[in-house]
Amino acid sequence: MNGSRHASAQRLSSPLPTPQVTVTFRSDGNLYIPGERLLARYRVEGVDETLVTAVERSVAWYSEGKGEEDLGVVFFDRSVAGRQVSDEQVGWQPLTGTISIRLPLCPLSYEGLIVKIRWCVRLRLFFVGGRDFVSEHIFFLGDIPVARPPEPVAS
Amino acid sequence: MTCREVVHNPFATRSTRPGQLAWWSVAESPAGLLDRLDQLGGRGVLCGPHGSGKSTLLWQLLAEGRTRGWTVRHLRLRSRADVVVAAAAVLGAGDDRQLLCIDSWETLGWAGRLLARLAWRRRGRLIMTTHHASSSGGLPILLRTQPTPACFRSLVADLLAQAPGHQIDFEPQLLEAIFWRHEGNLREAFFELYDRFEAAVRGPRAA
Repeated sequence: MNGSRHASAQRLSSPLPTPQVTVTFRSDGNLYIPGERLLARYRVEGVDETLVTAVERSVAWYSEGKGEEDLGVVFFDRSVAGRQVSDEQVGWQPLTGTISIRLPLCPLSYEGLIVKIRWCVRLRLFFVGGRDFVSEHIFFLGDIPVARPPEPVAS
Repeated sequence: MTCREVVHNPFATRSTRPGQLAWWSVAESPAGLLDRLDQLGGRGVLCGPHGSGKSTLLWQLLAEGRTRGWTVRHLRLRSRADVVVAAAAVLGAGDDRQLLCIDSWETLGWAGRLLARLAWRRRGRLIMTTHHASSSGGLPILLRTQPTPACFRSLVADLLAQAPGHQIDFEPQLLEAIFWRHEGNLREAFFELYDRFEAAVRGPRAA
């Protein structure tokens, strides 16, 4: 499942471009074994490359539920137009790329009722004028079954 | 079955925390409130019960302050031990283009009341949130937050729109009952809706 949002939409006075971000995981069902190498290719469409001033790429996990949110980032880099940051970047190609990292052993993805743990590849695009756009793409670390509500007790 | 199905619960803290929700009042816009803050001398208190939107509004005011080119700073107090941090911020050097926002002022107790009286000495603007006006040391009330069932229904509709894959709707009567059951505490009301959403999405597949 993918999600995206305009992170600073409330600050904007002009319409945002609406990028379509596609992330392809090299894994069956987007499922990875702990310690396995994540390989994900991404492509951004629907936006003028010359309007992009920076791209942040990250691999992270976060908790989701009724409590405070926990977050862990296992990979992060930021590339800026006109400046090479990552070794793998030869030229400024903000709209396509590959992320390849060795995943940790934990925490495992978990779809609980009270709390969930999600892993994602996250792309954040910054545009001329300071606008930004965030796109998240879920994958799974481990294979823990989905939690279900308890069955009502028969009296 | 594996965890390869993802259910985004729109009532999770991730979606309802301050900074994520829209401010619900049309009559009291963030821009209008900052204008009023200046009329009050640059000091103001957001006062209201738990879960009434004080922190959410504070984030909106911070964003509005940024658009005005102000230097903004946000502090969230968690215990009386934060009095040192609060004192340093309130008594520290400020300037006319600075907006200092401090959340949960009531946690400081009597020290907060004393510190609030000293806040008039600093330059720049100051907004604090508190549950009780008595803990604000006589600083003027910028706004008393008190959500209504209508605003709750509107926020719920906005949040449900974030989960388009699931055709779940809550009857207006149910939402009104939830609102009053939690005495207008939107945070607690969202928690109940979180549980109801989980039950609705996962329950039918449990059999």
